[in-house]
Amino acid sequence: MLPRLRMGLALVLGGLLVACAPRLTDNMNVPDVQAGLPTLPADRLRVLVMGDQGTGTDVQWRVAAAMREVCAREGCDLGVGLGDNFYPSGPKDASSPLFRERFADVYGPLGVPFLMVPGNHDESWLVGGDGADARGAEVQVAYSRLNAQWVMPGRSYRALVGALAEFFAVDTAPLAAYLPGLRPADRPGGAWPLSGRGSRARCGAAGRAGGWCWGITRCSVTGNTGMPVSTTTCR
Amino acid sequence: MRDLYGAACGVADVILSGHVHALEVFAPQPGCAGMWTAVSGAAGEVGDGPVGVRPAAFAAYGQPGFLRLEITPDALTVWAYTVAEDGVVTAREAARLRRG
Repeated sequence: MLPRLRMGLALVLGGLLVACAPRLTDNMNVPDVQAGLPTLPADRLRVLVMGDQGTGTDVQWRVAAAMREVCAREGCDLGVGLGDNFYPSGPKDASSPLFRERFADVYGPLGVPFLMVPGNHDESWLVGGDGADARGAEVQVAYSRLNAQWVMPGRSYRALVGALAEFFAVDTAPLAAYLPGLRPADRPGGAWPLSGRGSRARCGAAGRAGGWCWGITRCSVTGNTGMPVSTTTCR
Repeated sequence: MRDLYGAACGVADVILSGHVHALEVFAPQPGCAGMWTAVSGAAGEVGDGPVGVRPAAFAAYGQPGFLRLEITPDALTVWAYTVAEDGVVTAREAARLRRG
């Protein structure tokens, strides 16, 4: 009952706060950020793909142990983290011990870089998972400058692996938010989502060379559970 | 999100996403021929079963796990790994795509 009450109050408060803020739809310049990666195999690339991992629970540690087992047997060169890197809410500072507890200690032994995107829990404002504060993404971008294993040079970026593969990563957490964004620019219909419509969904060199092009996003429009089927939480 | 998917259609071979606490791999949908979708959102949290009936190339619900890709110039293979409570790992080939 208490969590429901708290969520209800947060929704009301969030609605009041954002109702008073100006709508901002001016165009936002989205820089073409290229991630720097160490030299990776260009003939056979093996990639771990995980999401919603940052709970700190036995489940996270058990899956991480399974990853180590599989990578020791089959090999892994690169990782992808699809958001909700922290529960219930993301760190507010790049020096937070959460980065060590939920990422470096858990996945450091794998020894591969991870292409990361933030999730709605990482961008929490009033309630864990509300996705309303995109400053959480900026904290994770700042952490990428402290730990080379955490690759997130911007809220959107591209990463090239020779002519074999190219990944474009986009912070779509604001589209999975339960509350309107704290900053008008991050709201659906705001400058961040609008400016990224086409400009961020692209592969360059790999596409031209016939390589594989991969999109890395928080949420999907294809699925069999309530969230991606519904457009209320993934607009 | 549909705007981004529209932009990615014809560009991306595969879209990777989380948010759903399950493992799912879908062949291209009618709205976008050629673009696969792979969902991996069960590396720390496990969700309930499916509520939809969209045919999936692979799906695992109610079990933690992750995906692993093997990418070569000519083919890509998506492997799905589920992890039991005792730590036993089960690997299954979820999809195999070939160029041309």
